[in-house]
Amino acid sequence: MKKAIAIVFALVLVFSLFACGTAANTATQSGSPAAPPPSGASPASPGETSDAPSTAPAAPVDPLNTDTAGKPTGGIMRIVCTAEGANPIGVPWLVFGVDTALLIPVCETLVFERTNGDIVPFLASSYKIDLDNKQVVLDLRQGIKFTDGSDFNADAVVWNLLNDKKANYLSTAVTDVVKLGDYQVGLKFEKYANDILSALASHSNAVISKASYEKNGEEWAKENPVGTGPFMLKSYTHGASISYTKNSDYWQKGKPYLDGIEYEFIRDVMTQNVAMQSSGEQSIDVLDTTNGEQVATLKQMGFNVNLMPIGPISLVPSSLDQSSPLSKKEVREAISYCLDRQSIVDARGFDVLTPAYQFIGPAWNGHLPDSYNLSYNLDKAKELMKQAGYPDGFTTTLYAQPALADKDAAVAIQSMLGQIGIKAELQFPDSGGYSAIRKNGWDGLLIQHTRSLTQIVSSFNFYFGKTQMLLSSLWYPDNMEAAIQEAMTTPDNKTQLETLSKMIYDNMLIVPVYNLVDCWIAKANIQGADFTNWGSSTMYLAADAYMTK
Amino acid sequence: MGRLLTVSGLTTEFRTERGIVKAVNNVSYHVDEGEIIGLVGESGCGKSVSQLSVMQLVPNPPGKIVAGSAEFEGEDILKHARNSREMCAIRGGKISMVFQEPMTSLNPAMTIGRQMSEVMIEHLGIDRKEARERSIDMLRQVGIPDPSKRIDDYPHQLSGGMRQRVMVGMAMLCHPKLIIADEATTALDATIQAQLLELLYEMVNKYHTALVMVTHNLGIVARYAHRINVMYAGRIVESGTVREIWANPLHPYTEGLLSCVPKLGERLVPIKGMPPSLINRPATCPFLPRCRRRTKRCFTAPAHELEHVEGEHYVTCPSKLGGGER
Amino acid sequence: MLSYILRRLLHAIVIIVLVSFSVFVMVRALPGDPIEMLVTQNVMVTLTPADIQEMRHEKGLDRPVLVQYADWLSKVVQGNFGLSIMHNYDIGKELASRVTVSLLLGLTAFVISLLVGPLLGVISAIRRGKFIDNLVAVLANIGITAPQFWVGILFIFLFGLKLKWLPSYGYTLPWDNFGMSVRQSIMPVVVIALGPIASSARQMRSSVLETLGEDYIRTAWAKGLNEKKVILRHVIKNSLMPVITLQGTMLRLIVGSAVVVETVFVIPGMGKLMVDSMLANDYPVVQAVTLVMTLIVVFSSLIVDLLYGWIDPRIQYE
Repeated sequence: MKKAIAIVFALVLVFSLFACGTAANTATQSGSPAAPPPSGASPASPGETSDAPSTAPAAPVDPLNTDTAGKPTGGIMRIVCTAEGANPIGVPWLVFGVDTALLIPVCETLVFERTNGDIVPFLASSYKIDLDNKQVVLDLRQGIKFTDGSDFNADAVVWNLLNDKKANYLSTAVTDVVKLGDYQVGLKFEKYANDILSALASHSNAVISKASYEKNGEEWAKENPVGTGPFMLKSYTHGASISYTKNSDYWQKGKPYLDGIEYEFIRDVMTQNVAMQSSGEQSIDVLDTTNGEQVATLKQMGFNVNLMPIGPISLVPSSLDQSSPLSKKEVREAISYCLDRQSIVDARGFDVLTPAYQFIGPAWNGHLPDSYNLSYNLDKAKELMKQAGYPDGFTTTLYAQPALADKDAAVAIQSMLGQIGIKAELQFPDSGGYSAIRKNGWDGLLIQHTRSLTQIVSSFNFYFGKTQMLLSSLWYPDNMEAAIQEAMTTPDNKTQLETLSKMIYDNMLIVPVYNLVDCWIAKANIQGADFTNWGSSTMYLAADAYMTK
Repeated sequence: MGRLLTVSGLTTEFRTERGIVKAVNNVSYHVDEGEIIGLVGESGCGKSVSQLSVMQLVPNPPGKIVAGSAEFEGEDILKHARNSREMCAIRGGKISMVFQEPMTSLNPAMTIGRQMSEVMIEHLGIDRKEARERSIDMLRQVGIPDPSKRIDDYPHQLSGGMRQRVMVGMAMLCHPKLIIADEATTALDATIQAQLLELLYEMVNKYHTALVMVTHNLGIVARYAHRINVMYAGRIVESGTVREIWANPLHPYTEGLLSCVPKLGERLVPIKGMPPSLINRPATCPFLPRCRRRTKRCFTAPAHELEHVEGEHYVTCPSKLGGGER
Repeated sequence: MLSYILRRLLHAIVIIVLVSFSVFVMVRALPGDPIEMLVTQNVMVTLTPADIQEMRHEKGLDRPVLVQYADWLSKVVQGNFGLSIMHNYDIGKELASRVTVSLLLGLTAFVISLLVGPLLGVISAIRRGKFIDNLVAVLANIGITAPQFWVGILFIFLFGLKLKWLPSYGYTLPWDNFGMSVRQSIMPVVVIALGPIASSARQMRSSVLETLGEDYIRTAWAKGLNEKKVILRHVIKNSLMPVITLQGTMLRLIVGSAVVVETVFVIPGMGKLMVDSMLANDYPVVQAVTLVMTLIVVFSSLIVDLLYGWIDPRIQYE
């Protein structure tokens, strides 16, 4: 009897704890470990309609605006970052991946990049593509000082860019960086490439003070970023948080408005959600995530959600292997027809994901007319399988990319393949295993995020270029490399991009399934930061952000 | 000699899965100051349990004292709560017990000095230094060589015989009125046994302490005790002075016991049969199945109480009292 | 005694070398390559195989394993743990701060579990069968089976969000801000300690019950000691032996497997570092962390064994 009472008592205790909380049934997946930085496109291209169900972003902000009057000052903006926060950040060319976001408040880049690919000069006052002299000329803004008092000039910039080049962060097309004048710099190339300017937007190429580095050495510089930015590093607790305080001598007078910015390295989804709901010291103002379930939860809680498409999850076949059925175009087309993309999205999209009918989404140049859209047609799929010589199907393996490929969607794909006789074994390797499979070759289909970079030609180069080693079992036609090179080197490359898209479609090189989005969630009192309009390199405008009461 | 302890009608039951065991069934006896009493019987007859009951040390559950009283120094100590201040003051201070298993009866993680001092600090209120002095002296008295060194030894550094000496010494430290030796020498070998018994005898005489010796060895009892109580199946079946019992054993069980004592040159005469199960015993005489002198009446009559025969001699069997039917 | 300790230290060194070498070899045999993963992290840059080979060479990963190991070991002995492949930070410094945090939390949890657990166990044992015993038994079961993740989130929700009694996440070192440090440590420490408290309570309970049946306890009662004195002086010390054995093994679990707690509460400790570096195939970090963990395990074993000697005088070390 006593035992029963004790059990009941304990259970009542436990359930009362449950009853205290609102339905906390949020995501089961943890935040993605060190996911590559989000990039995206906004539906800014005139005349195009977007199929992303986002709230329409505000009109793009000019980062150089002098509209400082009347903006409320003060406050510390707190952002969740899923980086590990273990990198020293003082030397930009040693920083990469998610951690580059940490440089935004302190170090600035020569140019900014919008999500639609537009290059906006920033520390450079203007740029010119000089094809005759085979150089990109950058005019530098004058009167800017680093926080150690030294001048921002061509000497400093050249030194920075040469280091960046050595670390392979500049476009591979750049052969040399030269000083053309006290405030003028030239990037030399043999053949022009479209990623020369966009690479400059990456914060791995942000500018730091040469004087401080040479005076104190690299070890010191790693811990102490000396940049031109609106904030200065205040404290950095590896693995926990980093905080910046206002730079009162910032070169844009009247800015920044905030007293400081803080990043909290919260990797766990539940803790992130709690932080968004907290008030006071523990609260978070801005959250950036690709996790659809989490976004749905937060939307339910009443937060504003801004979405940026970042490219599809695609099936990447081991088409290089001639003995594999996947080397046959009909088989790949059959696979595409057997996928009911809409129903996958209905089940696992959380109102945030969209079906991917083309490799390049509607927001980018290179998107083809609707007639090129892939569709769901089970009969056609079966017929194609018969044509290819596999009326009874075959066995193969599906490898889901860790953290990015939704597990349930993978299962859905597996069953859809089963409908046309393809018996696929489903595997979920960890990151080490997956990267080994990718590099050493696989037999089957990868479920991989084929990211659409802001500079979209880079996506083609990254996945289908001759020098790519990422997807070692993927076949692509011999003439693709030339097409990519042409798209790379032609400044206005819309037609070239369309040609490439057609190549993918005609050969069914990969099969896109559904689109991922990057979501920015900000509290209503955060204004001016202009999230979602800037590519992953720039992300947001630290100097222009302000908090209303 | 004044009366020290009077136990009347003590009944202790054990609750088991198969029923209630009356381990001690209506036991009554007394102990006078300075007396040495022997309590004899076979294993399982309830002699240990009866003494544990008086000390209120019977494991509870499953055991429980259900009836009886134990008058000691004017009050019934069984009325005290088991772990009350009064009962704890009596244990070790007024009534001490020495147990059978010297190997396990001392705390292996504490020096014997500390264990001895403990009981004096508890009852006599002296300080550590004084207690230690007295402990060393007591070790000397019980015959431990080099006592001032050995006092800091741990039990495992002493032999079984030495440990038992320590136990005896420990029991005497507070000069109790009564010591209960529960098969204190059974686990020792013969020579050590003899030494220890002599020691015990010497100590109780020296301090004028009463002693209850619980044993199944009649030889010991004969040598040292003034009076004997014979127990069978949870009851006292015969009691009297050593002389009275030896000269004239009245209970058939006592007779059988005496003839069990091995004598050189003579054959051993065992008592046929086994002791009865104590679970849910019928009310008839417990010795009935094994008795050579049983009569028809014994099968229907309830078990007898102790009846006075002569002097200090009491017995429960009616066969020698006023003649019985055959 | 001294020679015993010296011998144990010698054993420790041998163990450390064996373990670190095995890990060295095994982690290189696992699928996945740190240079690979490093390269694919950076989407912006496309490198040629020659560049990649250059990177491997720079990090010394193209040398034979034994050479790499000897080099690493010689540097470690001088206190140089090298740089992380993935993140380029100084491993020694990073590890120092992480280990400090993990140890502070872990040891606090350990001490608490060593105090609270046996206490509950003793109470359960001496009030066996009563309400408190049953309650402790049920709670202990929950404590052992409840996943740390779930408990952690529940706590954050209840105490952080709803009641606002405690900060929901984060960690401050006690010498930076003692008050804040204590407030932030309460929930994670409790979550870590829950399992060990439950198991040590159960272990102590059965140990005490066993001790209570021993003859020397009966002697203690017979000497007239009251319950409090019997328990405190005679029962507890003798009952602790098996509990200490169990808790000794708990020590390294507390320090090492705080991964979940560190992730949920955002604490920059060693557990997370270990998992992250393993997932990223960041060899030098994995090696360094393993080394530290081995040291902790070895030392805690030594301390536990010495503790036995103190508790049970029958055990002698020569």
